[in-house]
Amino acid sequence: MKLFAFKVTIFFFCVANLSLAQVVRQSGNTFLSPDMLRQQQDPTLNPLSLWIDQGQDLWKSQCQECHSSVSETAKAIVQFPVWKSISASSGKLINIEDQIVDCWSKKTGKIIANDAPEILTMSVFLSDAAKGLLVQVREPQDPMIKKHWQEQMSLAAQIYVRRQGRLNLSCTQCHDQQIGKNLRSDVVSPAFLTGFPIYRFSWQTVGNLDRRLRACYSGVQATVPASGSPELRALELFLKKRSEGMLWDGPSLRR
Amino acid sequence: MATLNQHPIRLSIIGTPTVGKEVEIRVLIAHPMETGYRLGGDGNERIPKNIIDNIVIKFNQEPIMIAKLGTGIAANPLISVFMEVPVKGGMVSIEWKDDQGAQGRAEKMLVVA
Repeated sequence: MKLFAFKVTIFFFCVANLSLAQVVRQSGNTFLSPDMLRQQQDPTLNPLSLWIDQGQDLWKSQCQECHSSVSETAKAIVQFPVWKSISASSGKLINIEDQIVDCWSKKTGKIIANDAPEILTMSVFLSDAAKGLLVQVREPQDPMIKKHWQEQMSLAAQIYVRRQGRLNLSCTQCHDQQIGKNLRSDVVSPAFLTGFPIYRFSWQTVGNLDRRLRACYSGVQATVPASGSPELRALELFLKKRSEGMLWDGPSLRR
Repeated sequence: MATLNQHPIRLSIIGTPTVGKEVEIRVLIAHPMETGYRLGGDGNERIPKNIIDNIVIKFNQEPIMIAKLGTGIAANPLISVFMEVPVKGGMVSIEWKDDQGAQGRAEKMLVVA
């Protein structure tokens, strides 16, 4: 009887440990196969290095005049999205790609899409330069901006737990409750935002977070929001805040 | 194609070039490798086939590998070749040409250690 009780205690101890282990926040890289991890770490194998090389050229030709240092500018990668006020009562969340689009239009007079080659290239380049920084999404100090910011956070928190689509699934059901299990041939990773843009082998190209999130909506057969819509920006803010203090992985490879 | 320049290319030589030993030559080319089977626009037209159909890797202007790629190769192909390091070093170069006539080349000096 005593032995049984002891075994039960051990069992509960293990279960408690397992649930503790799930609290440790893991980057999506933890769920890559060893081969893909090796490919990601070696620039001579990683297709993203083609984008990084071009980003370097683009930086020299377009950005260097105003932004003196790459490492200073790259800090924005871990701090965005931020609230941009248009007037006292209105404004919107912008992410790093929106910011690059804004810079691009000031510089060249042309407004281009946030997944145009120039924007993705620059985003990959800066994301690579931000490797090793810690994600730092700060709540704004200004009370008016803080109010909008908090509204966006709570909106996104609701989206995150809301069941949607024909599969009637919420984000949290997979990305918190089924981590490490297989979804078809892929492994479900937790929803932390530490390595975007990504090169996906199924896309055969680089894509931003909008494209990834839209694929999630489509995956559960829900109405897919337009790229750059406030819903996606709010979700990005929420996911980035969840990843507060985690290491930024830089642009990543995914299946 | 989502890269900015049309076809950036990366040629790298992996390993220490020691005479009589092997080094790996790796080539990464940005190319859409369009199969010709996909439908574009409104879904009625095929996107024209555009595959790198010929790659030649040369050492001192002498071909050491000629490859014909097909539609089964993914976009942004990675090609790797092993070669024995000769007594004197030399220039490793790669040239490619695709279905629509675009071409690219890159070269790198192989210096014997």
